[in-house]
Amino acid sequence: MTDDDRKPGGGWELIEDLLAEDEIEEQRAMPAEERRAAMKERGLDPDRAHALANEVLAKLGLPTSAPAPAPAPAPAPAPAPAKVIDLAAERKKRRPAWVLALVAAAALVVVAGGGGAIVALNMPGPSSTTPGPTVPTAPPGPSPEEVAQQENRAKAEELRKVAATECAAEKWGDCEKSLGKASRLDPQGEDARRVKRMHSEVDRGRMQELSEAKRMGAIPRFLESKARAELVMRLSAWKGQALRVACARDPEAASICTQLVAAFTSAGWNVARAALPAPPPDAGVVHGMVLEVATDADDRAQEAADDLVGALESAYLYARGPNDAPPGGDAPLRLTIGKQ
Amino acid sequence: MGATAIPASNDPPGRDLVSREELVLIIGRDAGLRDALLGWAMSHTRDPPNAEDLFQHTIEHALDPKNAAWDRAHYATAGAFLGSVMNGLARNRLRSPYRARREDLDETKAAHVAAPEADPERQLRMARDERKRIDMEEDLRARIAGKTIPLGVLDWSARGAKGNRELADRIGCTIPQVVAAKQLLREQGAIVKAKRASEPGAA
Repeated sequence: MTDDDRKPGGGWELIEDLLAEDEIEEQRAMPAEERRAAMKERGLDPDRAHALANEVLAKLGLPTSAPAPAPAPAPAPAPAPAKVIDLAAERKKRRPAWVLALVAAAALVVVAGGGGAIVALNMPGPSSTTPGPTVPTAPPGPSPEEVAQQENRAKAEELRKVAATECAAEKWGDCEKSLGKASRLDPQGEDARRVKRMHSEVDRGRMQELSEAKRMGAIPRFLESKARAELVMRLSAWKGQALRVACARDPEAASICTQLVAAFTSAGWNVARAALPAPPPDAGVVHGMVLEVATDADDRAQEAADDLVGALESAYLYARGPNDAPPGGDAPLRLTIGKQ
Repeated sequence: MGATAIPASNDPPGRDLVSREELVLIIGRDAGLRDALLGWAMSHTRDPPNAEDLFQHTIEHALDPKNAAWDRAHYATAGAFLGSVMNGLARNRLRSPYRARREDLDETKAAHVAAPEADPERQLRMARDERKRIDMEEDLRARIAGKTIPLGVLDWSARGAKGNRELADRIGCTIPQVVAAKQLLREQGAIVKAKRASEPGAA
């Protein structure tokens, strides 16, 4: 490439792509009803996009999609004699990582057990003409499709564990890629709260990177007055929610901590503030914000946690999580505010 | 990990190619993305039948193995990739007998407009659109005068460089600096576009 091969107006094409990305992502994030209304206003039929996409996919001989995302189907009845573990339900219970590992391992055992059941059922049974006592027959074992599905779920579970590690290390591209692979193997698993949270975390992580790059250097975090009012209003829906806020001793962290604790308190939350203990000499310093939820927290607390992360994001403050935390403790929700 | 080991990625270094199957899955699953794409097509064409046509052509083009695959190192999201494909197709619409070619692919539809190769009106519109792009780029350059990295991003993009890594290598800066420069270009570009749209006769 040389100075002479610059395409006239070619730079503007980049701007068009950047603006397209903004517009598309903004529209995509809108609530479905709002988006459909906006389409109607522009003279577009909101039901057309799906049919049009399917037309192209069918023409290319590629799999088409159903009109609307179907809710996760109920798991198939457990084949005897082994009990099938419903991974989706297990995931929803938000067990700690070691429990999930056991669940995935159990699924593999079930797959192997299921295979055994197939062998057993394929053995010649008693002849219908043979007299003898009536023996209760075993219900049919899992079909090969079900076995394959269970294997896929187990693989997807592994991939989601990898994704969790990558997200925790803030490798957003890798995390998104692992989640995408898992989604292909186990689309129903996408409904799990833990998985949705990881997707959101990737989005927020990327936003944060952009924001940090934009600032190019430490402007102290600050809760603007308008953003504060919105945060308080939004979080007041979870009035009474207990939250422990651990703040780093760094002046910048302490300042944003004070602002947030005041806002949470105004929203009616029960906030306990604590100082973040100094890390051991060989440990890294905590950066940014992390929200954790105790694994034994009830659904209301879980939803409040999701909303808290969203509300902070709306105020241009980014918190990782919600991540699983050990059960018990003094509050189900724990927000750690580290150095910027 | 035993039986569930994850195969290593075969992507070349610096690239993060997304398989066609994954893109099909995303298009099938993400209603918001489909709607948003159709909306963006409408911004280009201002006419529902043509918007639907552009929307379908975009998906077809993006999934065609002959064309460049989606590289996440260049386009972080499916929306960014498909939006860019759509922009390219929309620009080419006036440069080629787009409508006629599209109708060739679908014999069941009558052509919306005639599209002779040397239509003088098309050539006029093409020249006007390209002039407009050049003018807007000049406006933008004036607004970011003195800012070396954003100007470098514009220059190298005009020469065909793609992706933050390549731009950073070409300009001699860091990737976060490119990301920041793009954010500035986004903001200033939106202002230039809005200003241009508000001028008399812009519609």
